[in-house]
Amino acid sequence: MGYEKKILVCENSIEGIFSAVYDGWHWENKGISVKIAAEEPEYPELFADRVDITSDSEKAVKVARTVRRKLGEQVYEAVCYAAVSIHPDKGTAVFYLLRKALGGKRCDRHVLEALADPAVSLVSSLRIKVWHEIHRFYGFVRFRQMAGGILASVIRPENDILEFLGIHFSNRFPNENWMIYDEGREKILVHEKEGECCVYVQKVLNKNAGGFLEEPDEYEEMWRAFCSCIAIKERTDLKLQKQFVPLKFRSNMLEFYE
Amino acid sequence: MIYKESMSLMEKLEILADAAKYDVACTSSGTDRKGDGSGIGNSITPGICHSFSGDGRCISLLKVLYTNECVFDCKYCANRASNDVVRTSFTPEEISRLTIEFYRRNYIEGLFLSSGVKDSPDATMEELIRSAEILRNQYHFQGYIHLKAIPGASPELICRAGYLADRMSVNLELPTAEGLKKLAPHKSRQTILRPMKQIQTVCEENKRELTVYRHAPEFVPAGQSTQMIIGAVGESDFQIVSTAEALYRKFSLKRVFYSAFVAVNEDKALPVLPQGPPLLREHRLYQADWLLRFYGFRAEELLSEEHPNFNLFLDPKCDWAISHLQYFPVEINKADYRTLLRVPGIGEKSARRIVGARRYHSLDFPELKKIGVVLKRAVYFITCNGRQMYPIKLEEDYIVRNIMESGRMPFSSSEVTYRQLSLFDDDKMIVDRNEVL
Ligand code: SF4
Repeated sequence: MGYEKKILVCENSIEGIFSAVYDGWHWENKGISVKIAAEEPEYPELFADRVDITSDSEKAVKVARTVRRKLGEQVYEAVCYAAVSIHPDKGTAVFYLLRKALGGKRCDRHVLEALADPAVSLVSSLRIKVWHEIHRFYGFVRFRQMAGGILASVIRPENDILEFLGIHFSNRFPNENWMIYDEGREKILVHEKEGECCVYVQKVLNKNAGGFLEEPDEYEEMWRAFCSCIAIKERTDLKLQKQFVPLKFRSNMLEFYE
Repeated sequence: MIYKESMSLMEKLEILADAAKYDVACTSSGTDRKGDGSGIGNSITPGICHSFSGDGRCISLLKVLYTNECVFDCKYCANRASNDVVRTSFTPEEISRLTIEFYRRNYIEGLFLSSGVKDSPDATMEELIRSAEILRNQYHFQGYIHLKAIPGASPELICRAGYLADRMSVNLELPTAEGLKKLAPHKSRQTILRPMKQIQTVCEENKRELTVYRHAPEFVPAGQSTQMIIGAVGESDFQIVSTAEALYRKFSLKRVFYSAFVAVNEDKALPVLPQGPPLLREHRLYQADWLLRFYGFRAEELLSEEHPNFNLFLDPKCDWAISHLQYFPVEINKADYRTLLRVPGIGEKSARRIVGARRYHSLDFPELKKIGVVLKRAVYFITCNGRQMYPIKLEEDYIVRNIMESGRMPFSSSEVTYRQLSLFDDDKMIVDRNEVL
């Protein structure tokens, strides 16, 4: 006999979480309460069954399709952003938001407005956090030109946003070979000239993170000069600057190197 | 005039970026253009900040002058003809190359090219156009370009520039015509407003054309902006805000920027400001500007001949609410969106959320907090289901005292002030502008 509560432990990715949502749905229909953990739970729970979920792209695609079709792009985006955040309860929040919107034959496209619901409130705050980080990196990624004109960048985002940068930068630099390396997660987003973007998760680079970058060129120097010239000294406000570019972002922004 | 013949690109950049820094409009907002795969670049509507300079302003564009040579003699400007400074110019090839190399490295969203008046307004405008042409036609650059319309340049040139740029701007420079005459003798309201009107007219024609021919070339798709210097000629806030309102209404400007006067020249026609640039005043003007553009306020609701300047200790919205207590309290569960927007402590986003959330159930104070309403300001002005949060007198002095004591004193904490300033700027996307209250 199983408990009335199940903890679904899945891979920490959108695919993993969506697979768990798919499996969890049936249990929840039977009145079993579900929790989704995208990371190994710190301590085992006493009165819950642990179920290990294998990522299944077919199930994940089904979930994605249903969400997009029934709830619209905005909700879909919110769920995806929440799923890549670092919050430990993100999986469960995504699950209960979808239950609220789609359970019992409902179809609530305005579910994100129901902020009194804790799952909705968590998903929507994660969505904003992740969205902010993505947009910050649209601006804060710095490419360095390497041999053969390849552009390379190293970042260290808090949330797992690397894939989300792909669309933006492929559209922006379709005719360049470029790559962005997430040094914390050791994966790399690679774009080939006129081609698609791919993420490689294995350790593609043997050298230490960042070590693969070559020496700076004269444009880096000019950029640093530009950034210091453009400030009005009568208005100096380093605290404000720090609010906008917190120190943790600066490690890869050459204009902040001493 | 000091003119150095052979200068490295680095030296030129240092001089011409430094000379461009007082133009405050460094934004890349207003254009949504996907790259078509043929070249380089794209643009997204809210713009992107790539860095922040030591004064806390967003760096989004390569903002430089094409040249700091100038035949005009505007008293407030470091590049005026009568100043003895090192002069230099880019070439169109240099400036376009620099833009592309910065852009590829993801330093910038594009180019903001302004200029001194070298030889003549037309000659200068030609050079700016040439630079933009190289970017658009040779590099197939689809990022953002902001070009300055040089006052006095011919309409044909303005028109050509407009088909290359995303945004154009002509600076009004000073809020009053007398001020302009006094400080910028070579410019006139006419040479400034004429190109502004032209850009507006062509923009509107172009919009109509685009509805018929979807692939017609776009003219200044991100609209035009302007800038006024604040505190150089003794104008009142009422004059400034009324001017701004007229610019929005009559010229359909996208943005009016306010730039606290910084004394770069010694000149008896200029004020001496020992306390530095009037930054708090500038901040209040941005707040008021926001109220005009998004909150449905009119200039004469905020100020009048009798009450010509903003209270430096209260933001304009609070100031307005306190002197219009007859409209309050507002019932959160009934008031329409526009009425909610006028409540201090409620911004665009929280007003929208209130309207959304009350469809599900009626709202009470704890939930308002979750929604993002700043209760310590709003409490005086709202009821939930007919109740106040706690019994409060709806009385002017009482509210002023309380709001000022609740940690909103200006000067005491400069971060609050400037942080807010940036919140008011819709072009800085990494800050949530809707949090503005
Ligand atoms: S036109 Fe006036 S403001 Fe512009 S560069 Fe020349 S002197 Fe300066």
